[in-house]
Amino acid sequence: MKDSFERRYKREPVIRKDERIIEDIQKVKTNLINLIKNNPNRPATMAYYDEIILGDKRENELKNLKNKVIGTFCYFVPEELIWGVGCIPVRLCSGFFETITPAEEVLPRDICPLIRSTFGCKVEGVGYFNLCSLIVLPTTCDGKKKLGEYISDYLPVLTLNLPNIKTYDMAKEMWNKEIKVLKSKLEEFSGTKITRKNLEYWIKLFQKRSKLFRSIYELRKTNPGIISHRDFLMMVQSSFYDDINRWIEKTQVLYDELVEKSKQKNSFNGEKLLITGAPIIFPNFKILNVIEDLGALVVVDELCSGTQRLWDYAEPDEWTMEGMLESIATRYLLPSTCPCFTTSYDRIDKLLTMVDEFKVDGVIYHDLRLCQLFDMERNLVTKILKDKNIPVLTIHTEYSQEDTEQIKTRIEAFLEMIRSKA
Amino acid sequence: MIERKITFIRRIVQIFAFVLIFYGGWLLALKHIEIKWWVFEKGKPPVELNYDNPTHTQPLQTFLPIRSCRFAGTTGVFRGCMMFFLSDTLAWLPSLKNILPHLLLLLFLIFLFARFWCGWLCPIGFISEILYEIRKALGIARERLPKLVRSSFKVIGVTLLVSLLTTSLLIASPSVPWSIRKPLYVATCQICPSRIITPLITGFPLILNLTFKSASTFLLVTLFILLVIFSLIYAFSFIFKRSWCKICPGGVILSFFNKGALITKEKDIKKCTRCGICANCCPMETTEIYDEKDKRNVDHRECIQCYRCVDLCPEKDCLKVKFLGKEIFKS
Repeated sequence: MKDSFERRYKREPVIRKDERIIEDIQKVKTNLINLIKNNPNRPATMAYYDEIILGDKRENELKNLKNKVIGTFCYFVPEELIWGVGCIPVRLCSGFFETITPAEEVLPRDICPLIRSTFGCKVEGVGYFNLCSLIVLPTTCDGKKKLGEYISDYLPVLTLNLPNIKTYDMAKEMWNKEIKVLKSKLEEFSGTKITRKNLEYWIKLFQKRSKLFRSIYELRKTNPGIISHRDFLMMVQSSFYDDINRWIEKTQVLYDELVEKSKQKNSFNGEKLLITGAPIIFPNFKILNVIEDLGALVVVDELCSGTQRLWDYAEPDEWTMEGMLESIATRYLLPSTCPCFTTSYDRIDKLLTMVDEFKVDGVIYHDLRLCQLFDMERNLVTKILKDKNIPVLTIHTEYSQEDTEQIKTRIEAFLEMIRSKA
Repeated sequence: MIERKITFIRRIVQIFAFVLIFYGGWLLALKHIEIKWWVFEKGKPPVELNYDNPTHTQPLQTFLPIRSCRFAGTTGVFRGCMMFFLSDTLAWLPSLKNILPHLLLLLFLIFLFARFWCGWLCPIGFISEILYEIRKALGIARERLPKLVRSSFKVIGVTLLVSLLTTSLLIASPSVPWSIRKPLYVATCQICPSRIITPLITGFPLILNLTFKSASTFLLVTLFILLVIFSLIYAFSFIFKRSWCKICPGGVILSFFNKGALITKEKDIKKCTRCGICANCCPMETTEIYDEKDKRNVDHRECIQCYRCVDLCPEKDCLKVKFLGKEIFKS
């Protein structure tokens, strides 16, 4: 997977080992989890997700496993195929503020914090990035497009050529071919072939996972107070790293608990908010912390690190190899609402549906500074929402905690406005 | 647990319809009044073409808007399809009184279900689905027709329908020479792949020889070549789903009624996430339901109403099938 160019011109990977940063990260993680734990209404099963998100146990587990770990990014990497070749996918998109500065030695300062933070994890040797022996990187935004070049100093990288325009015939055909190439490359990498039976098993397991997730999502419609959104995102994001079978097992327990809880009277009367925009990844829960401190609740999100990740599943028309690959290609392209595609219409439609279904009082548009794509879409999305008389608040922020107070003031005012309206 | 419920129900209905249409006469021991000019009974020589006994005068003769082929012989219950009925009627131009009951019944049946007949009841469609079920079991991949071929199939279907009906009208006129009129008689059946498939299945002798004395060889050869081409297209439904159904002239007639029939499909455009599953699973390779983002009603001409998309749609209540405003199926 190394290009001849990379053989001709040797590049040295930048590696820093700063104990302080690792300590800081650990501190931030535990502090945040302790903060979330304060909620007396918290489901008991969440303890399991805390463990996965904290990472130590799962990292050790992965180290001891014989299976290779493959790092993925974004929404578009077909995890069924990675499990199918006997490897374990780990989604690397990171939310650590601490690893941003180390990454700036290589990457420019003017790209989105998510990319810098993720790359910083490799520079510092933090977390799951260190365990990976291959990276699968779709070319979504400009930052991610070029990131592969830098990661290839450390690790082999498979870049997936994602179409820019989401159309059924052209783009899907192209993506279908790309997925087939990915399959053969993964088979080459791992030395195992994907059989029909095997892939069918994984697709069905992923279907089960999505359906389970959907039923939790449905529960929140009628009774949003049963789980806070921080917990919800932790549940989703532990699936970045966890063994899928165990995740389904534990989430089933969580679901049962939530069903029990939802039978009680709806205890939540605060403002119901929807959060959309750039991904919010643990431990960058700044906005959610503020919202939940103020007595409001995010009841649903439209984030690629949240609902979008587990919502869709592959549904093959027929269980032949080609049919399954086609369904996987479709699943990892067409339902996406990523702004890296030319139009935002699917996203707006989805937002309006969510607003309707959850009877949301307001929408928070989370905009990571230097993410041009979400910024470009902002005007169109907020305009349409405002035309429908849905209050929207745009929060333009970074990973740092500096502006927490400022965000708090703005959200307070926003909630005040919603209250006065009602 | 049956995962794909609608497909399962459809298969049962299809099997039932298939057995009834092709073997019903045998199972139910119905006494048929034979079509006199074409007797298939064993031991008897085929009766000469008897122009005095056109089909429509036969009592107990029901025509369905599907390929309930008359070549099913004595075991078949319904002795001819809509195309046969129409071309025969046009060829003989009988009195309105004779054909009106048949015509009204036919129109009523079409108006009820439109291409629902294709997807759920047509035995020839069912056999082509069995072909691709075999392929599935063998693990061979499905192919899709190239766009150009598909759009030309649409044109071919309409052209075929128009030309078949006009030839039927043509032979009604006495000014046309006999040598042309004779081979063109019920050209619909002569080029229909069902003419080969149905006798194969029902166990009646293959009737390939349609030569009449003093007929134009050129026309006969042309018709035969068309028959071979269409049979090949039919055979290709092994890898291209329902390839014959994309040009079937009977289907073309039904397709005009697809919009406005009593059975309709609706899409809740708000719930649709455009995940593309409906476009992937469509046996007719259409993308209309996937593309639709404005209207509630998603009926379109090519849909054979198999409701595979409704079955596989992952969004709850997004796609619905309604009959007389009542919900029958939903995703």
